[in-house]
Amino acid sequence: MKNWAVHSSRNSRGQMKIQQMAFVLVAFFILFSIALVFYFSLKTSSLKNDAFNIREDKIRETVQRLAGSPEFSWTREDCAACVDLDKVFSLKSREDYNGFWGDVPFIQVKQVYPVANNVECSADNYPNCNTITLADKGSYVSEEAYVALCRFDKGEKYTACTLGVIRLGVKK
Amino acid sequence: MSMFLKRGQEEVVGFIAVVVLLIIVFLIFVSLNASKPAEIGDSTEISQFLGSGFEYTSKCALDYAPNYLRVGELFEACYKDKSCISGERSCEVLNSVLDEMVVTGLKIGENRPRTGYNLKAVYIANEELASGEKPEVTSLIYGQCKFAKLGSVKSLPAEGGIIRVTLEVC
Repeated sequence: MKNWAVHSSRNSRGQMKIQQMAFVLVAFFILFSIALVFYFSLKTSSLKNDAFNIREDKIRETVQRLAGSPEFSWTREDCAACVDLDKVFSLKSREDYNGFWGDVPFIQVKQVYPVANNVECSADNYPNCNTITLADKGSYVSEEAYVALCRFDKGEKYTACTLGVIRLGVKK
Repeated sequence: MSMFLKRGQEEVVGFIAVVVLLIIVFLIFVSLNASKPAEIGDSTEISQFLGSGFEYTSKCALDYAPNYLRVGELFEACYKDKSCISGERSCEVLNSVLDEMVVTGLKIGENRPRTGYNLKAVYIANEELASGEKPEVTSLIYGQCKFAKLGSVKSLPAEGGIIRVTLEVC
């Protein structure tokens, strides 16, 4: 009887210990799960940011490639990022190029530095203006890429380049 | 009975101590990760800005007007401490143009999307491309730039070496 009581008491203590261990393990598991969820949510938000930046970079590279197209390229010197401003301005008034840009809703070339008044170029004010808009229709989201805007200054007889942007609109 | 209660309390206190210790370690880990400055990758925007900005025609001519230097050429003139025919030092013209161009072109300033920039140009001789001295050509700092967000590096050809220009924007 006495042996049975001692044996039974030991079994209970063993079971208590096992239960304690089980609860501790469950608690640790819950704690680590919460920590892991927190960590992965941080990592996921940084991944979304990276994906957005990569998409923006690809669009910028595409926009800057316009500077290399025959309608924009500066051919006096070897310069991939240079745009011939005189050529671009002449495109604006050429009827042959009406509809050339197809479904592209917005194309604009704008001088950024030196800073100038926001004036659209026309036959009356060129080159004392800072914006040439080749297409502007419908609703769009625009992206821009930095380029050098170059032209031949007939007065001082030299080529002058300023810093500008090509803006391209993409349909929403 | 009271002995059992004491032991039970000890177990609970030990468990809570372990949990608190783990939370502290986790918070230290998170704060270290958060405070580590992100590596500056090669930003397409800054790279395009530098490439286009180097083509900007300055008002500095070394020999005769209108043979004005581009910004990319001004770096070498500044490294050699040459003066423009107007009397200005090429470094003064370079720093002035760069500062205005970066602030205006990248929209930097108070109440603007970006708050500061660091621009540094160093000359690296051909024989020292791997290591060795890199004398500074120019260095410009604007605003508070604790952790730069975007940056790019461009190299320009120079006599006997290259000039490496680094621009970081925050």
